[in-house]
Amino acid sequence: MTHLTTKQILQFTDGALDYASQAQCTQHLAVCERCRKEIDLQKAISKIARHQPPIQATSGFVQRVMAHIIPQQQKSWKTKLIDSLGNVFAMAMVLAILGYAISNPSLFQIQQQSKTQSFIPQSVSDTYAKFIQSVGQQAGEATQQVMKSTGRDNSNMISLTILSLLILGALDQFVLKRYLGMRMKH
Amino acid sequence: MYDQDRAVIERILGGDKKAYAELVERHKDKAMTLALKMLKNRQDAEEALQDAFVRVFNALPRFEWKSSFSTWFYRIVYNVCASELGKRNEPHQVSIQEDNEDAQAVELASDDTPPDVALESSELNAIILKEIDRLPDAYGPTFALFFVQDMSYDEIVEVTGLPLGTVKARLFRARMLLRNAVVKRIGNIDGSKQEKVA
Repeated sequence: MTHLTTKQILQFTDGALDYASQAQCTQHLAVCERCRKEIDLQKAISKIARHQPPIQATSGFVQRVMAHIIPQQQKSWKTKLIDSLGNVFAMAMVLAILGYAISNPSLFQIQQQSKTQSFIPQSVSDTYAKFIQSVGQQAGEATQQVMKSTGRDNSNMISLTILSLLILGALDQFVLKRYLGMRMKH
Repeated sequence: MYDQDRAVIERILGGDKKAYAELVERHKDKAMTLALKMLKNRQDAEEALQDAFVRVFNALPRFEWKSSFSTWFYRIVYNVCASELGKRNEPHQVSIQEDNEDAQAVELASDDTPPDVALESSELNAIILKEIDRLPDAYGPTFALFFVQDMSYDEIVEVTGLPLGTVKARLFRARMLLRNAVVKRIGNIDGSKQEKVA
């Protein structure tokens, strides 16, 4: 008996034969056990290959792709404003505090001296004052000249500036942007 | 799928860029199967796929619907992976010998009578899946496109850029290799079972 060719078996399995060839193959399969088994095996292979579980991408894949997509978008003027508003506000606050301190040196000097004398032991306050002075000396000639022109110790100014920057940085990062961002989303 | 893709793409082109996540979610796993078949390394496959998705997004405004989105998309995935293989000096070469599928039939068709197969057998399922993974590098992607992506020969030609004869020959050889390997494995299983009974 002449068996079906491998090509015929695959085409029969895929349903890719024309009507006449399909009928011819069906006739043969009715009497040929070998070809029937071959078709069964190919059908099993096709079925399992078609339903094999796809290999899953790792979790977070979509987010990683989208992270490449979203930065390509132009930020709206509102977003840009929110992003820059915090920084502008912080700088304005620092400048205002500095300006106030320069124009009123006696106020800060008295307050600082009284606090140091009442709450901090003398040895600690001396060390602190020396440290601040050494930082002040390294802060640059221009800054020192400004400090000297106000006629008071520059350590107060430097510590005040650092403190202001830290407070305003935290305010900008954790309060201002977050609050305004939430307002924008709603 | 076609209509769903089209609806999402229209939203993306209309300005809703976040909708692209839906498209990525829908196609990522099947595309990962193709990328892994080509690159044989999960990390490389995932990086290539990520690159492909970004390229697809950037090229979306130029997509003209001359083919289905999935055919166009898989062509980009295939090209990115082929380019990655090129960097490794492992280009996807087309062999002229592959073009004659009938010649391969003589070489590959086994004369042994296949054993009875129980279609729902989990053992058979495991054997076939394992043998699919062991297919030679040249046949894996074509096999995946045909069976996993459910593409026609013409669509595979469009995706891979291979000649039709090569696509047919690769699929034919892959299926015959699979068939012979499965027959051999089932035969061994039957033999060992008979030995145990005896």
